[in-house]
Formats: sequence, structure tokens, C-alpha cells
Amino acid sequence: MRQVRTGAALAILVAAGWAGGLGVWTLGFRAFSSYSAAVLGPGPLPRPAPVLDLVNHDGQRFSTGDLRGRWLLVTFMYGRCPGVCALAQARVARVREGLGDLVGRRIELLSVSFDGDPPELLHAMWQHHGAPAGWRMAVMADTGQAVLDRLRRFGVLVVPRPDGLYNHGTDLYLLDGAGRLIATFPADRVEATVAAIRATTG
Amino acid sequence: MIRLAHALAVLGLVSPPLDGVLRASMAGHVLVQVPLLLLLGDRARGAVPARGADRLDPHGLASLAFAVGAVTFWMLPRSLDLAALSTPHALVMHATMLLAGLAWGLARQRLPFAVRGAVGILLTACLLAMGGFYASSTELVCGSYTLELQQEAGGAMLAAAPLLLAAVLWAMGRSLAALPATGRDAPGS
Repeated sequence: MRQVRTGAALAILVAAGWAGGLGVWTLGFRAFSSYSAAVLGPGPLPRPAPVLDLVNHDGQRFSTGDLRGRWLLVTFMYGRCPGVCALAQARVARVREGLGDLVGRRIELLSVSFDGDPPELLHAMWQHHGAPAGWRMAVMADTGQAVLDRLRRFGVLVVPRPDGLYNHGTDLYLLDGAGRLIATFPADRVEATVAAIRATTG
Repeated sequence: MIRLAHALAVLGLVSPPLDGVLRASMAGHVLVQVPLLLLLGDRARGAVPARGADRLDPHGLASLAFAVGAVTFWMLPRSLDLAALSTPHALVMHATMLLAGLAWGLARQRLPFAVRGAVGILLTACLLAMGGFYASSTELVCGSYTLELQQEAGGAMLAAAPLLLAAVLWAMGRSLAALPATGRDAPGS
């Protein structure tokens, strides 16, 4: 009987240990992937997002701080991206369609390259999507490790690959007029994302 | 001699170049390296004195909890990334998987037939669910692998699930066949 009790107590202890460890590691059972951990890592939402210094598709410098007062829907991509980015940007285009006249009036869309893409390439990408009003393509003005550090503080995971390309999250990041990160949306759920953004931005 | 072969197999599996090759692809990591480490851990159960295991964990529940917890932890996409991108963390993962295999080896000698079967079927269901998820996802779930490798691993998991189910059913059949002769579960099957 004593052995049974010892065994049961040990089993409960081991299970509790793993459950506790999993809870800590997944930030309270909310972050099971590195991407969701990157979003939640800098702190709970809403939280202030770091200002991004950018160059737009016309070669003009600006920052996300200049866009205060409007809602901002930000995605991250790069020109050499072999597939995921094109798919994600196509979904952004569908989100833009779903948001209708909210885009440009209340919400600005911003696709940010973190790979030093030239404005000419960004301009071509912008034109590929029909040169839409209220949707800017831009490249981060930071270089090297500073790019990865700023993205990490923003809540974006970018993993450099041995072949020189990157693995990165394709979520959409919604910032309010005060520059706070309010929510993130997975790029593959367009209708749900449109509904949530409409509800959040009023 | 067997112990030496066993130790060499473990060493080969966790050392370069084989470790690098297996960790470079998600399927190699999850469906080759991890199961082999679990299997080698299971084969090492003879090294644990039966009396000590009987005294501490007479029904195998603590060992089962350890094995399930370890596999659950390291199969999370975030944990897989950690092991894929960092060699020190990969070593911790390998050690944990060996211990999880050992724990399962000790547990299955003590657990009743029904619980062993339930664990096997649950594992198959998890493999199917993970395979379906990874194969169909058009989003990167693991940061250390490409979308193609992720989908390829998902397909391989879906292909491996029926094989695992067959192995589970075979082991359960063996246990059932042993029941009338002994009146008890066949140990270690």
C-alpha cells in the first residue's frame, strides 16, 4: 500500500512538473510556436510598438511615428522570398478588399521589407497589386543586426537560413492611432481578420 | 557486446555528421532521430534494477508521466526550433528522449494491457493530427524549417501513422495471446 502511495505521489509530481514547465515555456499555454512566442515575448497586448524608420516605394523616408492618429496594419516580407511572402501579400490584398473604404480613410496598410530591398522593387510590387491607395510598400532603414533587434521588439520572428534567405512570420500586426500594437492576425484567415479589424477599429 | 553496440548507436545518432543531417530536415528530426532515441532508451531498461523501479513506481504511472511529458514538450514547434537551431539544446533534447524511452520501457512492463493500448492509440492519433496539420498548413509553424520541409514532414507523419497503428495492434495482439496462458498481461509487450 505504501509503495502504491509513493508511486501515485511520484506520478502526480512528475505530471505537475511537466505541466508547470510547459505552462512557463508556452507563456501560459498561449505560445506553442516560435512565431507566437515572438509576438507575446515583448509583453502583453496592447503594448507600445517600436517606431520603424522606413523608406517607401517612392524612395521617401518616413517612420511609423509619422502615421500616428490612424490605424495601421503592418506585414513583413522581402523581395527574394521564395513563395510565402507572395502568398501572404496576396492575402493582404484580399484583406484590403474586405476592408473596403476603411483603407485610406481610417486604416493604412504597410508592407515592410526587412531585407534592404530597393524602392524600385517595392514600387514594382506595389504596382503588381494595382498601385492601391492606402497601401504602402516600404523597406526598413536599419541594417544588419539592428533590423533583427527592432523586429524582435516589434514581436516579429525572423530566422536567417543557411542559404541566405529567411524564415519569418506572416501575421498582420494592427497598431492603433497611438502606435500601440493591439492585435495580430494570421494571414491565412482573411474573412475572420477582416471581421476582427472592422470590429476593433469601429 | 550488446551494451557497447547500444552505446555506439546512441553516440552515432547524436554526433556529427548524422546528427546534422537528421536535424536539417523536419522529417529526419521528428520521424527518424527522435523515434530511434526513444527506442534506444527503451532497450536500455534492463540497466535499471527491477527492485528499485518496483519500489518507487510499482504501476509505472510516474514513468509514463515522464515519457508523455518529455515527448509532448519536445514535439512543440517552439521546442523543435530550439533543438534544430542550437546544438546544446539539441543535446538536452537527445538526453531527454533517451530518458523518455527508458521511462516508457519501465512503464510498459508495469502498466495494464488496456493502458498500454490506449497510449499507443493516442500516440497514433497525435501523429495523424500533427501530420494533417503540418501537411496542410500554408503558414510556417516551425521557424527552423522551410514550408516545403514542414509539409514534407507532415506527409511523412501521415504515412507513418498506419505503420505505428499496425505495430501497436501487433503488440496488443501479442499481449492478448499471452493472457489465457498466464492469467496476467504479458510483460514488456
